[in-house]
Amino acid sequence: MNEERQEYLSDAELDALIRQVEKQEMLRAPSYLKNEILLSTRRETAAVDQRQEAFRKNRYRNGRQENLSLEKRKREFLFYSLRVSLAAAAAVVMLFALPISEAGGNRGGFIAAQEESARPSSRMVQSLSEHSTQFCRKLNSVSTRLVSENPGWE
Amino acid sequence: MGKIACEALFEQWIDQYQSLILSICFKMTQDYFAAQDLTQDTFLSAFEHLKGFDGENEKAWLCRIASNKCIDYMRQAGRRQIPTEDTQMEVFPSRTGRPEEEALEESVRRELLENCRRLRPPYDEVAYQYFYLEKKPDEIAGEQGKNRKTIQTQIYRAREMLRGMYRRERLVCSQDGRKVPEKKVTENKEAEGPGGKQGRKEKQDE
Repeated sequence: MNEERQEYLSDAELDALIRQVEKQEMLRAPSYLKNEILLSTRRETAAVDQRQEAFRKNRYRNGRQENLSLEKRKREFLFYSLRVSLAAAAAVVMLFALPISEAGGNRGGFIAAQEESARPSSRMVQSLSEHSTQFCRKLNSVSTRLVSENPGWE
Repeated sequence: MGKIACEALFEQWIDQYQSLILSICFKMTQDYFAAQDLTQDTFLSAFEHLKGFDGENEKAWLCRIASNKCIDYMRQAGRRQIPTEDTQMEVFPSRTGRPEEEALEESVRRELLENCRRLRPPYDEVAYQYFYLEKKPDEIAGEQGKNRKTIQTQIYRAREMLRGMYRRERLVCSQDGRKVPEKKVTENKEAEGPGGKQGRKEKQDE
């Protein structure tokens, strides 16, 4: 590193070089050189500004992302808490809502409660099947009538 | 200093010192296009470090940047033609071997014209119009009936070809024995002290 420093011109050498160039060997700079210099400096400035802008946006985005995930996590925790609370409440309600038979102790009462709870659903199924059978009969009669009225359909 | 004031000052410096900087770079590298590139690099570096400049003697500051960049360029290019106290002016003889009374400007322009003509079409015409006649790309595009972007691309390619041409010519001249021997550089290196105040300041700024 020090060796490289020593290879640069000293102040005296530089002054002598400047004097000699000014006295004898001045080249006129071409007209396009100034434009090119200004273009390169503007490009460099724009690149620096762009980098700074990207850095600022990145910081802002990262900051926002951190806030969003925290809010999202809070919301998820809230929904989870609500679900757990509802499940617990439903369990408590079922505990009081389901009837227990006095004969046969708790176990018998439990079985009786099961049977009791099963009955409404079997009645539902039965009524559904009756209704569907009636619907099918009606459909059959309609189709028979249509066929008899329009013999060409067979 | 405000941004606008900086830019105004910078433009003023370009108008005032671009010829001097170009001349110094050409004297040290003997390569016209390398001198232009180094002039650009010098002003760009000065622009980047403008805020750190103390405001004293901008001419010396710019010339210091230019000379250091030329030396870095020469070192990178493998040419150890570093001026010393004894040989500072002898190291940079005229490549073309023309008579000394001929103005430098004329010889440079003649050489530029010759090299432009040596390029293959359409780059020869574009190089001649832009580098020799110093016309603007818009004017060239208007005259030739071409797109401005096309002309700019051709200018860029022509510049690269000319740069290579100058570099090869420089290498040939170096091989003719005008290169400073390594031994002499080493001896003079020991005699030299560390870089002066301006050199240290410029390095600090960079």
